[in-house]
Amino acid sequence: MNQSQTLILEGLNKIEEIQKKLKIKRATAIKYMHLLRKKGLVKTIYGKDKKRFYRILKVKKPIVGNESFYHIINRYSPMKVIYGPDYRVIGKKIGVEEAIVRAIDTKHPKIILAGLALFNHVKNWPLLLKFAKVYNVRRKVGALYELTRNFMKVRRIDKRTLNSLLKAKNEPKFIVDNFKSKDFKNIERKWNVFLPFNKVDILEYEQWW
Amino acid sequence: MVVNLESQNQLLLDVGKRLKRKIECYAIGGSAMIYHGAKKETKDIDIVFLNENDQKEVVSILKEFGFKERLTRLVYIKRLEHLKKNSPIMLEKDEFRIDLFNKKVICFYLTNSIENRVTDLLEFGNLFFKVISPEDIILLKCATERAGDRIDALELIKLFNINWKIIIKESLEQTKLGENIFPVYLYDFLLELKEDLKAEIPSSVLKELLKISEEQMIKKFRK
Repeated sequence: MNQSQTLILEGLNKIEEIQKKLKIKRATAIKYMHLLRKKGLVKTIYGKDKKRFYRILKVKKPIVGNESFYHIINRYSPMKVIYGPDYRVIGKKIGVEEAIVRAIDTKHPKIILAGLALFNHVKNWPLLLKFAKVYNVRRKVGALYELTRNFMKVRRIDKRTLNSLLKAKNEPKFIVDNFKSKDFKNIERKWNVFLPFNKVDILEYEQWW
Repeated sequence: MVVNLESQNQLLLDVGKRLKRKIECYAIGGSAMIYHGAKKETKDIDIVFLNENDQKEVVSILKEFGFKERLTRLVYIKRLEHLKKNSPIMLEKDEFRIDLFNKKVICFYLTNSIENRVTDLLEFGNLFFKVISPEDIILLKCATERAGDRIDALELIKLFNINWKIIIKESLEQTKLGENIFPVYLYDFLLELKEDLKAEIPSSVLKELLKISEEQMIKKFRK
């Protein structure tokens, strides 16, 4: 298979489309995909009814570093988020604990909402506290945890971490600027922060399950 | 003196770990091509910052690493000599050569549309490194016009499905921002690529650029 053929096929293709474009048999098309995969130029995506789609690249792009927190959210959350550029982190591996805090730090309601599902995957609560301290979002983490427990099965946080989250002082009150909740006033009062979600938002979230 | 993907990543990571606050910058030229997979190594790392403070902070860290400022060679073509004051800070140490620009690369401005077209975001500690799109790399290659730039542009045209509409639109945007008639330089650059290096550039693109260039020149002379 030469470069000009790869050029014709660049993008997302079904096996039938490859056959049509190159005027070849189905078996030959599959063989071509196998050869391109060996070169690292094909990525298979499964569509509806496990239909195979082949994403064909002209250039093998080097994969650098590790996944970003967007990847972590998309792995664990039923609600997916899209981020334009390919985001990679070099020099460290981001875990669930850091991903929660980084999601809150974006101040974007959709990303924060999608990130709530990560609370069920936290294994190291003191690590979550550590990152919350670094980003100065301890009360926000606590409030969002309590909100998540209201509508989702979430692992129980240890008391020491919970108390430390509650002790935080001098933190900005808004999780998302100018967003206040009408329905979760009790959580807002307890944690002294403003939640950016109402019951409707949570219902929207539940649709994704 | 060549920089490859690993050595570039290691240097940027060292810088990012030293930074005390988040700094965003843009990879252009050869170093951006490395991340696109279009090149294995480059002579220098070209970085553009959005403000002078960020540029100075990174320069001071690099100087702590032993980098020394080198004299800016007159790499620009004659018509851009008046822009020498905007020349980048150029540092070097062993195999590394780094050019650090502030907002502007010679006569090329970093616009919002370029920011929106960024293809990769790489996080090196506190250093957020954004890789510009192949279309914008070609435009920058046209602005700098150094020896290897034509070959790099040719490689990009070969490897990627270049969206020529973006290139034409951005060249017009650059004309609005700067004092140069960018489409004229772009037309020159692309014509040379097509005629001398047999690059696959659609004739319609060159025709459109020629038309725009003529219009822009008439406008400029009327002023």
